[in-house]
Amino acid sequence: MPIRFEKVDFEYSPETPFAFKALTDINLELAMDKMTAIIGATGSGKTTLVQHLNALLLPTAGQVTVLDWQIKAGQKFTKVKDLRHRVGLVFQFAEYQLFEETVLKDVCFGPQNFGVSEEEAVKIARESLKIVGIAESDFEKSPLELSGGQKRRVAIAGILAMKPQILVLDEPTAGLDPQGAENMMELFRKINKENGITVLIVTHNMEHVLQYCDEVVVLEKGQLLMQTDIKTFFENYEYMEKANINPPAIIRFKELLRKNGLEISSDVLDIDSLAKEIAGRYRK
Amino acid sequence: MKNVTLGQYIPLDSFFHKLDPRAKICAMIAILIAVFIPAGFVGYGILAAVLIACILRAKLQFSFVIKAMKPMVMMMIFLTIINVFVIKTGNLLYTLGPVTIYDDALKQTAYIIIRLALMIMTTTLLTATTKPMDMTLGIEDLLKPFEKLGVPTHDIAMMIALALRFIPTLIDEAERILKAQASRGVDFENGSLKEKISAIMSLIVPMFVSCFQRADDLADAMEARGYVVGAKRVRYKQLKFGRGDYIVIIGANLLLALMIFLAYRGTI
Amino acid sequence: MALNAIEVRNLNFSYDPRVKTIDGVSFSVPEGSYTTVIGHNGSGKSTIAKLLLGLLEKESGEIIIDGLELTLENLREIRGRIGIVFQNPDNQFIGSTVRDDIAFGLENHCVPQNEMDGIIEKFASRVNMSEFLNSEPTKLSGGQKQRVAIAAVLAMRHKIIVFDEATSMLDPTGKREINALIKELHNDKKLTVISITHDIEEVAQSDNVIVVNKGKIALEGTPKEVFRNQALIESMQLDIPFVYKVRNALKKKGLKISDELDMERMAEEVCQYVLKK
Repeated sequence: MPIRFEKVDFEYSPETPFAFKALTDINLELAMDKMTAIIGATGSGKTTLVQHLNALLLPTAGQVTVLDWQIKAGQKFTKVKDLRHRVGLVFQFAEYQLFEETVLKDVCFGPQNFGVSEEEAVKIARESLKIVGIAESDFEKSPLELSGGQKRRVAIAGILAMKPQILVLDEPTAGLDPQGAENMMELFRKINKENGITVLIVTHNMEHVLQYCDEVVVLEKGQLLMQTDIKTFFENYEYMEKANINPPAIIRFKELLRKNGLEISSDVLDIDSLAKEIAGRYRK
Repeated sequence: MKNVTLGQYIPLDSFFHKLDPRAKICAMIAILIAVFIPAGFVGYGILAAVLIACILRAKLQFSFVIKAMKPMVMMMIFLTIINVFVIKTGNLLYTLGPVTIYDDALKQTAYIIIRLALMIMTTTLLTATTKPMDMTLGIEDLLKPFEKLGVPTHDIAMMIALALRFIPTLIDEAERILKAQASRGVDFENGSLKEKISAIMSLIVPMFVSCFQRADDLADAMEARGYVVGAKRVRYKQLKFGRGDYIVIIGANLLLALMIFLAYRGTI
Repeated sequence: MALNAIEVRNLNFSYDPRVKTIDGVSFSVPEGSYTTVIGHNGSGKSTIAKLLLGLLEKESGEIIIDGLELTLENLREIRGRIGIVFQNPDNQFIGSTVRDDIAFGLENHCVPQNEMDGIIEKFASRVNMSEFLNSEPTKLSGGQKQRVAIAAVLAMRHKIIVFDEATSMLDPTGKREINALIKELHNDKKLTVISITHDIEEVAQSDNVIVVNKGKIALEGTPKEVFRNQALIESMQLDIPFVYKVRNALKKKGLKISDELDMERMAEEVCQYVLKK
């Protein structure tokens, strides 16, 4: 079962002077089991879009289908809890949602809200904490004692413990140092490829999009601009410039080489294969 | 949370918006005292007429003022019921089994309701035409004389100003945490008492943590820009009294005098 | 001889007596330079920034700002010479409007009231925020708020400004704007800029780099000197600029490419090398 948006509009505070249309006529189908990036400038509607996936926001027009559930504009959606159980949403600066006395208890909080027994919740929580790389010795610590990056990992474990089929992350690497951000992205890849969870990531970081994602969805001013696979996306240099997207360094470098008369194959997307290709050309 | 009308500033351009906040606060105090003087229905009629004229002059919509009174409706109904059962003087108006209604009860209730309505009109007139920050400056200046008694008026004003500055930021933050916890299956509306307590904790604890973090950052930012608690500073915003300000203060005090006259003319 | 805007000698500090957060740090920042400080989160770089402004009290060591040694008594004077722009745009916006926020520092430094308007307008226009003077912070983007923070610091006519990850919470547009603004402010070399950053491209363009690791200075020098140590830098969980990675990868393949930190010139060189022969 896929994720599908059909003619979806969303307006904040409709029929008031503050009314603001954040999404307009979104038609979109997202493939399961992939890692998809959702990109676009600030205010393009990325966060609004992903908050439809677990019914935090309900469409003001159109219809959203997520797994087995359908959310139609103007109709009461009654299966909120079932939906939220299966779609985990990690907010920006997720570390601010931690509140229990210990790391382990905080991770148990989600599953217990969905009716999992305490014993079972503790078991799942331990597994989830292990996946995100929190050491056993930190389980009984207060979340406040951990570093910023670790806190965020605990918050992500708290969502993973709900055993979602879809994991949505809103700018999960914001504020981390580059290495911390890389490690975080590695974690999502692992969650996606090894645990078979569909991952959607809202991000501004094009290097991450290139390195880790399979598909990309581009929003602009509340409208869907394009949806494509990563390779096609990064081949279209002029388009990225027009959409005010700062391409990853390797793409910029390849473009500079092309301007200077050296065309590099579009399959080359990392430094090692680039060096190999350049060296090969030199030897020829 | 965002459609509370009581105490909200309405950015318009009117005679009242341009007045010095100190003048408005002084005038408001005079009118509030006037409201409590038992000047009878004639007095209240005059006060109401003046206030309505002022609201019109301030370009405020009546629906806005009425909305501000809404929270008081329940209180007014409650008061009416109590009064009907407690006050048993004056002429008997109506009897229904054990329930008896006297005209004094109705009169007393009407007085209270009118007073409340007049008070809300007065305060709304002040808050709707004065930016919170200007209000803080006005209060700071008016409290100046108490500085000699050791009241840290400037620090108090600074605290109020910072609180006002951070209210919108914290509302946004609360909304985000609310949504984040809802995504973890928290139901803020239904559930047993135990679940409700845990739901509230899941909002309050993160809010506290975040507030302390912000306060820490803010203290650093303020110190870095040379702020020292209690040290001498020059204030950028200076309030200036104009002709309109004198008119408003004199007008409000004349109104107060008139009410006193109306209330006590019989006894003199 | 160029003077040093900042001189730090054997600085020590810890939050927790068991762990040394800053461990015998010494460095100097030449007047008029653009110096970047890098290190992973928790390495102690922000702590150094706070120590420089006396926001934290050092345990031992010397800090000399613009020729004046920082003591507990002259904090206000020190803070008249060195300003700071922090990471979180919201938590350093003190006034209720842009105008009030720029005024805040002037009020503290007792600038005569009748001069304030002129100063506020001048520096608001310097950061391109003139049309927002009466706007409230909730109506501004993160990048705009950071521009206001910069104007507020500039208005106090500091000679030295510290940027403590000033762009790390901004979107790419905001980052680009603020980086360009900082560069422009530094153009005439009258201002000394110290930027604590994770933006490796910004580091590549700076005059000096200080690498902080575990509360100590691990490396110091020009970007070229520092980034030559790829293995060491990567072992400290830090990145090196893209062009350096490419150059090192090409070197391994036996190609000879010069030490070039600019991507465009690097591309030209690679093309000449490959296509000419």
